[in-house]
Amino acid sequence: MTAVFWAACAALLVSMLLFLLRALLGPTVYDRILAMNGLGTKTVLFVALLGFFCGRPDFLDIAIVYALINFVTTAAILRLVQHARLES
Amino acid sequence: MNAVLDVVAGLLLALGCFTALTSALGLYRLPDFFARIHAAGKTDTLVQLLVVGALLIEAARLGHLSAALKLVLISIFLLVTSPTATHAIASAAYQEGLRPWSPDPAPSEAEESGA
Amino acid sequence: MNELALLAGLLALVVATAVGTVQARNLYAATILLGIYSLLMALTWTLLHAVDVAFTEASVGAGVSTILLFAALVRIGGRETENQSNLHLPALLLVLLLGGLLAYGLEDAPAFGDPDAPVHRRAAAFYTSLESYHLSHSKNLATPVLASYRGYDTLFETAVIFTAGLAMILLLRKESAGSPAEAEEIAEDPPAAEPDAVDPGRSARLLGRPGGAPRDLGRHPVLSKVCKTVVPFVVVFGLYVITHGELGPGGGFQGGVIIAAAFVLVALVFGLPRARQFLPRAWSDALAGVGVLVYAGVGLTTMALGGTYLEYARLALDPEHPAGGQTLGMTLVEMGVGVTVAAVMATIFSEMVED
Repeated sequence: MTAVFWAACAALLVSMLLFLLRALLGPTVYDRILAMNGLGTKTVLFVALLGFFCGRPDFLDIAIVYALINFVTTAAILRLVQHARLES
Repeated sequence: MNAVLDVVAGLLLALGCFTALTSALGLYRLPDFFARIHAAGKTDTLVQLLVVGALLIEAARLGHLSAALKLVLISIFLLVTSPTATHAIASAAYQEGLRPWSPDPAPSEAEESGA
Repeated sequence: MNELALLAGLLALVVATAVGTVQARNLYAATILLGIYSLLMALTWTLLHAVDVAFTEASVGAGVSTILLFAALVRIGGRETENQSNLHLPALLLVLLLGGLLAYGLEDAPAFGDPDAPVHRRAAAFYTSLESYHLSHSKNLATPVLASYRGYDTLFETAVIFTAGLAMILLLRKESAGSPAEAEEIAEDPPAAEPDAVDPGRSARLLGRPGGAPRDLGRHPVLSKVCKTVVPFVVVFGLYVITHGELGPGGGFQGGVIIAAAFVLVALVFGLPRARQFLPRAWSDALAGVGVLVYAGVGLTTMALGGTYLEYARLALDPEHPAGGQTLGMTLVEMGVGVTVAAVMATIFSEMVED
């Protein structure tokens, strides 16, 4: 099971790398927001996985915070970008 | 019994990670925004369900009741918010004038690709 | 070994994000990358088992500060003025020198996780032997250290946050602004064409902007429905974090920020006037001060009961069991911090957006 856990962590890390590349490359702001949102979900899973593997179930609290904050941030940024665009 | 559960959890986890890698590759490689959101949005929910499912089996095996409860909470929350976020991003991009790529010069009124 | 490899990979991502943030010419892009940076840093803290720091980084760094930076950008327009010379040689030399010195100094630092490191032999041993820690039966060591042992520090941190809110009000609030009808109209100068939005290399095409009158942002049925469902849970979780700081990760700062995030979400999806119905301006102004007063008042109460300032054990109903007093005092103090942080964050956001 341990090996599977490490492999899973590594796979999540690699997928986070690709998400990060998309966030760095853009080209539109929406691509970046999408990448950030996806990265947030991956982070939630990563933290939950780590919590189980390290025997620290209290990590799940952090995972919940991530899940909440990720949605709030994505929604807030989207609305703010829309405001900026519509005003122009 | 435990061995069987372990194998099931491992399989779910492996499947989830494979899906995550696929979606990340799609997000990186696909040519335009709506194709990319198609790759990233839907798989997001699936990956979440698979990984949390695997962890739930582990939690049940170890007898962590509160952890299992929190996992279910996370899963339900992501199940609601992740598609919403994807939809909101797609509709914001569409409203701004971003259109799905199509080979013919006059793009038809394409359907909104949300999740 | 595996853990170190994971950490190295994560730190590589962090460095890549940092470089990307500095390189980005578009300020919206830079802000989003900064949010991702916080996300990755919080993950790094989690990997290092620094649960409380991870909590703070997630809620403050990735959450509220990203949103506040975005709100500021919308106000000023998100384009960086072009810098003429890209390479500033003296600055580069200075940075390299400083980095070299730091790397040189790092040679003397104890190895990562070394049990004989001075911090483990002295500081950690001292903290774990703290009377307050044993008295309160706290499972989370960070909370007694912050709220009890370093209670004065935390009190003044709360005062600093209160001052920040005060400064924001003094700088940005308009005298006459009673309740502006269109509180959400923000950017004054139009952000010029995004160099970021058009990419000749890719096939994504921008077919012009929606011209004419600004569309009503309030009609986003899916988002508003989901927000209505989600916001209560966010607030409840924020309260849980504030009151649960003793037993698990979290505390007043993080919980306050989470509650403020709920306010921001309502303000952006349903409009600031709607959010102000839940937390009127007079209330948030008052609550910002009330939190600090609660914290300071706990200290005065313990003095009145014959102890020293913030000696929580004096609060115990049963003098035989001072642990109850510890728990009560720390919970009250955390609540004070949470109230101030939530009120000040809400104030900062609404002052920034309101115009």
